[in-house]
Amino acid sequence: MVAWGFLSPWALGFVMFVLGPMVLSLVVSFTDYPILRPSETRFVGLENYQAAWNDELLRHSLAVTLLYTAIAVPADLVVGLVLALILNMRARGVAVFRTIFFLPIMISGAGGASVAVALLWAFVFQPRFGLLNAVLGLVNLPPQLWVASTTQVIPSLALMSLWSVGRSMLVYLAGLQALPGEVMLAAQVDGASSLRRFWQITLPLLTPMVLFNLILGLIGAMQTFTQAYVITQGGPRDASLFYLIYLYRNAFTYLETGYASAMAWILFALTLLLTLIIFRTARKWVFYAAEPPER
Amino acid sequence: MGRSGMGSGRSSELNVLSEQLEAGALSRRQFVVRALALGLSATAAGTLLAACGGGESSSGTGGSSGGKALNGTVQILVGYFGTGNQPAQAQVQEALATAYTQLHAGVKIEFLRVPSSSDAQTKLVALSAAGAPPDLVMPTGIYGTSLFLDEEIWLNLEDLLKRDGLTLDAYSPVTAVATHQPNYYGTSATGVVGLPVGLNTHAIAYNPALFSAAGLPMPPTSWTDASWTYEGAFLNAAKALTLDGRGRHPGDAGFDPSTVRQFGLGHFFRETLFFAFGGKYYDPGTRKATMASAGGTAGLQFASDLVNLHRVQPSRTVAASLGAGGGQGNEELFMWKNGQLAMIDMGTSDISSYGTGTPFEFSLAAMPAGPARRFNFLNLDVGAVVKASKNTDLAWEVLKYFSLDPAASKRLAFDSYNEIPALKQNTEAFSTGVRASLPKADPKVWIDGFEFAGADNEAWFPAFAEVNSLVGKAFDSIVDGRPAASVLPQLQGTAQTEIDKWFSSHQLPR
Repeated sequence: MVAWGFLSPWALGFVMFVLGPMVLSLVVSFTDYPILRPSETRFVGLENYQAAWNDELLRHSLAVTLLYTAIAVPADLVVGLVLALILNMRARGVAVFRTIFFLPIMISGAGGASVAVALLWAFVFQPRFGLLNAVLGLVNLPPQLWVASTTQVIPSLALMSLWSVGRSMLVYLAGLQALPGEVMLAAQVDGASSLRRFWQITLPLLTPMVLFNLILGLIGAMQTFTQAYVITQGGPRDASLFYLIYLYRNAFTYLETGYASAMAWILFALTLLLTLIIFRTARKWVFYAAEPPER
Repeated sequence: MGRSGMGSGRSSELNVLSEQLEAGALSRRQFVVRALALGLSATAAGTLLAACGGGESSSGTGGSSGGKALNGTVQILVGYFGTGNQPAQAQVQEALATAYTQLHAGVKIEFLRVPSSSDAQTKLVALSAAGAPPDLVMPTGIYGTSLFLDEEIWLNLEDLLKRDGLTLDAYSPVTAVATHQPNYYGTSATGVVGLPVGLNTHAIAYNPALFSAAGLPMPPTSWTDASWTYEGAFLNAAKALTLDGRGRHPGDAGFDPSTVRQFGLGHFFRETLFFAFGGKYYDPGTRKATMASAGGTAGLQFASDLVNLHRVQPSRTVAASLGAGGGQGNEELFMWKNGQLAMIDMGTSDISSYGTGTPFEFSLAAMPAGPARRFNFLNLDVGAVVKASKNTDLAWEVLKYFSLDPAASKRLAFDSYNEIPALKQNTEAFSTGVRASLPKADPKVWIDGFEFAGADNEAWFPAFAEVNSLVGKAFDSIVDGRPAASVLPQLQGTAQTEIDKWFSSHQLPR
């Protein structure tokens, strides 16, 4: 009873604010639920899911989201690891740099971007006076349109996602500091070069952290919303129409709440599927210290 | 100035007010509001009013309360269409609210402020769905009321107007179409979705120095000048005002569109051309989408040609690279202020952005005529009562104050939004205000433009949000270079599907 007493605030919050709305949205996804006239709600069966199957714009928004995921997640994995390796060195003032690289996380919202961060980046991307084009100008490169260009908007937003790379960096850093020193020492004594030690020892032992960052990055990228909502509103020409932006439009502009709920569950299923695939393949490339790697 | 000086100044102004009240030039309410504005307490103003023995209220802004004390809280959602939250605007709203609450001690007015129109839309939907809607939405344009018209979110004010013996006659006649939303309420159109607050019409604003440098005559201020047409004088002027890096114009040998440093035209809406050439979104009689008409197609193709063929207007990407200065969407504002645009479309509500802080004094001209008609946007802001409000009577009283009280309405429309006050008697206040702040801009041009103003681009039709989203994307792609003749039939087909879908689940009110 005491345990339940301690658990109940969380359990109550979970049921009221997570599980309850999830179940409700599942129910709503099988109705037409006119949000402002709920008494007129009709059960429509699988109609919303069928409509989603035939919705070209939904497919487009999914493609946009997957493209972004395919760029932003690997970029986060690689840059985070590189930063962690650098900041794992024993050098003077390294703790200060660790703090500096982690600081942006403090003002990032869920998914890596708060409204404040998005507004800041809108100025960074500014074609005429933005910081990025100023840097390009310093090395005599032509200015770019960044988020104003249909072809550059997704890579630009992926670049912006590195603002929150400190999160994965921190996980890698924790992993690096937990590496068994005797293994590294043995390899060093055996004459392994630093590059070889990285590929043969460090990276394999860090794969649990890579998996963790990959899963979190994937889930976050599939739910990208704030940065696109604030900076591009899905434009130009729907080039950054992320899945959640389109879902939001359906819910709050077209008031198609039932359809938007179905979209949410489709995204949930898709993310779950991708996560399961990663878990399935993880057996082949993730190494845990307690067990020998598969051959 | 010392305290005694201030006191005597106020005293003389109060004397003038008292005289005006006794002469019947001021209503009791106007008297009290102005007395409060002079710093008098509500009690003192009331005492003075009693001493003056002023006549009955003629403003009609508080008549229905019938002497009964008003009580409660009215929440006003501000930010619909992104307007109303600038510090200067908020200051005016707060001052008016304070003046009202000083008259009605039991009333509290709260402003619910949101940063953008889409956030306001979300807030309105979410709060309404949660059973706690705001009481008033103000200001909202016709587009804003149209978005939710078929969701029956707005209170039809017809009965309240009748109950209080009020009509819409006090407002400029041009407001009638928009307040009635005839596409929805039918041709009889008696339903009223909001009380007008301010009007915004458009005109061509131009940089006279660039016209002089090009050796061009200034464009006409008259809205009936037959020579001022899009395909004639307007296009010729735009070409003459467009210069590439070596000073050549479009059509000149060797003209290089990639080095244009000054465009003849910018910040100009393709919808204006669509309607001026005879385009129409929807026909309520046949319930058909009509975007692909010959006129509409010609208008949009002309809009595209201005950018892609005649090269007198910057493309979206050129504007972004050339004129970006204040964030996405402000590129053309920057170009205009930098003297890189010779002509723009300027609505009265653009005065605070495009109209102020320019290093040159701009002038105004009429909108050119299209082959079908001369078209000018009418943007009408209203205050609308939310039907599900638990406080509709009080919201109605507060709305009447903001809309029908001459002093309040003038301040809200012009001082806050640079709009033309919707009350007929306040139109002159707009002219006076513009003349004081923009010496070279003739406010008459905006006011004369009413005759040609229409809400065609904002007026409701079935599946309004969905179809408008399709329209926006299709029009964008045409201006980007796709032929109007191939895009518009496709648009019309998909729009018709949405309209048919709407009719399968909705009925127009009788």
